[in-house]
Amino acid sequence: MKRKILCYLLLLGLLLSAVACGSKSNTGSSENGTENTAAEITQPAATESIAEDGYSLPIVSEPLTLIFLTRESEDTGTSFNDNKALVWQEYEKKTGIKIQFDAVPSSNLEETVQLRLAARQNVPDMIQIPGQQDGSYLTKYLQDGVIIALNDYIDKYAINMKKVFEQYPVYKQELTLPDGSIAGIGDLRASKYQFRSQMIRMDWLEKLNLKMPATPDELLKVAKAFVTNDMNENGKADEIGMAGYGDQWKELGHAWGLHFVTGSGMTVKDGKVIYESITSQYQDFLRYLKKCVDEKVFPADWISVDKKTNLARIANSQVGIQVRTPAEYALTYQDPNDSMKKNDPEADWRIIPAMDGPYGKGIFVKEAVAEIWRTVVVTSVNKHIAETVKWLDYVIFSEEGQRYNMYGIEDLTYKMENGNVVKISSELDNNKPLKDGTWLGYQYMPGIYTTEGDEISYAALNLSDDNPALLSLKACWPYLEEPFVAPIPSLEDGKRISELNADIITYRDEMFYKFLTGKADIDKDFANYIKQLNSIGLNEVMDIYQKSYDNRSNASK
Amino acid sequence: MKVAEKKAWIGRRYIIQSKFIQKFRNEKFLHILILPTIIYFIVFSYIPMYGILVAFKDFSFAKGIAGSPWVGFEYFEAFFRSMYFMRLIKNTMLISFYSILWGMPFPILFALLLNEVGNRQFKRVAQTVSYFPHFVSVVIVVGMMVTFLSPVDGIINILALKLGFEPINFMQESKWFRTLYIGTGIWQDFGWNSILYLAALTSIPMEQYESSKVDGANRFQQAIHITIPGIMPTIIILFILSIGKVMNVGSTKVLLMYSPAIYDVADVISTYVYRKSILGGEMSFGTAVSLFNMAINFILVFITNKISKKVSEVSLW
Repeated sequence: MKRKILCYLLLLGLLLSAVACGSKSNTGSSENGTENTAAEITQPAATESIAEDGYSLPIVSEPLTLIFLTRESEDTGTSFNDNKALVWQEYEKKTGIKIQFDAVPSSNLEETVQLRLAARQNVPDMIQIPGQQDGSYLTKYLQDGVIIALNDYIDKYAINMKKVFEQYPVYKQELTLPDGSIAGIGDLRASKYQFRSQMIRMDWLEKLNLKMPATPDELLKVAKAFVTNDMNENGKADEIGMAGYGDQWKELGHAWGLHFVTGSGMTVKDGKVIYESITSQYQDFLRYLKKCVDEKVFPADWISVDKKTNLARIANSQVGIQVRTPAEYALTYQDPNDSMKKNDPEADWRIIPAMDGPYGKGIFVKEAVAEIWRTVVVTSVNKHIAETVKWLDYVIFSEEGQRYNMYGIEDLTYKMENGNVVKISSELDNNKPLKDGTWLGYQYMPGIYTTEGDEISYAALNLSDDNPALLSLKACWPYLEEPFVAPIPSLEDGKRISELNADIITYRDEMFYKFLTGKADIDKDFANYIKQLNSIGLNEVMDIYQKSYDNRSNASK
Repeated sequence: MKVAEKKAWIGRRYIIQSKFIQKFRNEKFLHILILPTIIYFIVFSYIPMYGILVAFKDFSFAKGIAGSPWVGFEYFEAFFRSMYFMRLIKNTMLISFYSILWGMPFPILFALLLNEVGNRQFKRVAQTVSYFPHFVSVVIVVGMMVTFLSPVDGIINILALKLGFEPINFMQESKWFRTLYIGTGIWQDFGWNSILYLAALTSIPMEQYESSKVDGANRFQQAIHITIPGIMPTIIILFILSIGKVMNVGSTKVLLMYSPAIYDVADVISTYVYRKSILGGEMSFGTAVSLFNMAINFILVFITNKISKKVSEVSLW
């Protein structure tokens, strides 16, 4: 009898412990033990009586901890979860708000965010979302009540943000959702140094006594020459004419006036929104790309090569032309501490100037003013929204905050001379960790990138005014164009777009490869390709975007 | 099981003696032993079935499952309306059927061959080594594939070049996809899958072999007439079970192997849904598609089971 009772008790104990271990705890602000019940999520936090304007430092008088779900550090040997980031320790000292990190590798971030919000478990106070380019997810989250609109708080507290909005009205416009709310804060990219370009190795050109190519056909000839000669003198025929991965090959389309802004694939001309992948410029461009494939200036695995392999080949001196690089690389490649320079000191990368394409001079496309690929949102479980907005205003938009984000810590990685920032070179640069794991942790929050700001960063490189790489970058400025940022559609429209887009993008990408590998004929099958796209629903999608674009233009008048 | 109830007065107590309860009392520790597993399945498999409702609702995080509005078959229709619907079904089923067709003989053959080996030490070593690939992650297997088959510097193509052939772009050509997918799958799993067959082999009574030897059968004839019929029930059961997974072609391996150039053979239901739901947490759509897959799988298993019952006497239920 006793043994039996003991057995039953043991069994009960095992079952109970299994159940207890399985349940997760819900967390919100740890200070105030927020509970994550359904009621909390559906009601947005009641607006506190907003007493004062603006704020002063420190933001809070008693210590406050906010939980921040964000992308884990991508710099080797560092982790936000270790709490060793110096810049973040400074934030805490200045504002009194401690950030408790919940850092997730960027490849898992999207999934994690969606699962947490769907399950309403472990919802943090702030999230840095790796957004999709059309922002419709923000509308969805807002409608679902999991994130909140910040407009009132911004008006009352975010003095610095408002100043930036006044200076860059396009930024405000691009962050604003169709219903007028601002729910996510992303990068501001207003620098003339931030655009996409193609780069070529000047030293290889000189070795072969060739001129800088001025037309796409000349570019092809040069690339072919690179492939057929042993440029890196290693005895192997491993040179690659033009290198890239994914669908970066489309960047060559700049010479045709094609923008191919990531994600939307649209541009606007005279108030009309155009889908670039069905234009006659695109068709002509396809013919050129096919020539490149046939002439084997792309690597043999151009369809499936991945980012890392591509980078390895560039570092290994196998590549003569890169089809897509941020223009600023022209400058960073000159940095003797940069890995590119260290690997191959002879490599002299220059930006290829605007080429004469069949439709006129080529273009360069600037990065969008409001980059919403990383957006910070405030969730509705946050019990300290005013403080959070003040913190965001300080960290992202205040002058001090910007300096922390861009340059690091005063007197450690930069110093102030006559009111100007002068960079000091330090072991902590580029988020390299010291032996004990401390590191800067800067440049992970959305940042303000202006031309002046970038010039300060590059001043440390001490490039003379007639440095050829710098000149090749500045030569592009007359041809810079602003990218078209797709207007954020309303919720129902967004749903319809995402339903149709899955098929549209699949078909478009498939046909791209079929055209280039010869399985479809660029001349004969193009009209059919357009017809098919329209029957899948491209017409409907474009109408929605045209409507949203017109609304947005009218709203800002 | 019929419950035979016998009510009787024993002494002053009125006891219900039923065969069922008595049996239960005798076996109660067995029942207690299985209780945790039953609870596990109830809690983790049956109760979550409530979530199937998400497929018929316009699910939103804030409203939860109960609060989200009903939309009926809207998401199923969205799936069927896609111009790629037939292609997705075709690709998914073809990959599965070919996997079964080509994947089943190898473990059986391996088990038979291993059975013939005399040296027990060798047998054990061979068996263990054959399991190793099963534990290698699919990510690594695809990584190896990409490296070995690279048209630029992969071993296979370098050899081909030396022998005078043109390098083949394996990962970018539609006609190689299924071969590579199924081939590596076979390499990875034949050792592991042969375990069940080897176990089944041991259950064949020795007298059958001895009497066949008396009748003058050689080893080959023994294999065909005794061994294979002997493990046939196992083969059939495993076959029916694998039919039940036909629509579940996992997305991981395909995702790692495919690219838009080979969507026409490589795009399966799970990868399409994955691409689609990147554009915004489409819980309802994903659930609807999963439910559709489950339904097809169940119908197939049901049919196969019925056929199997008629043709042989082996069936799952």
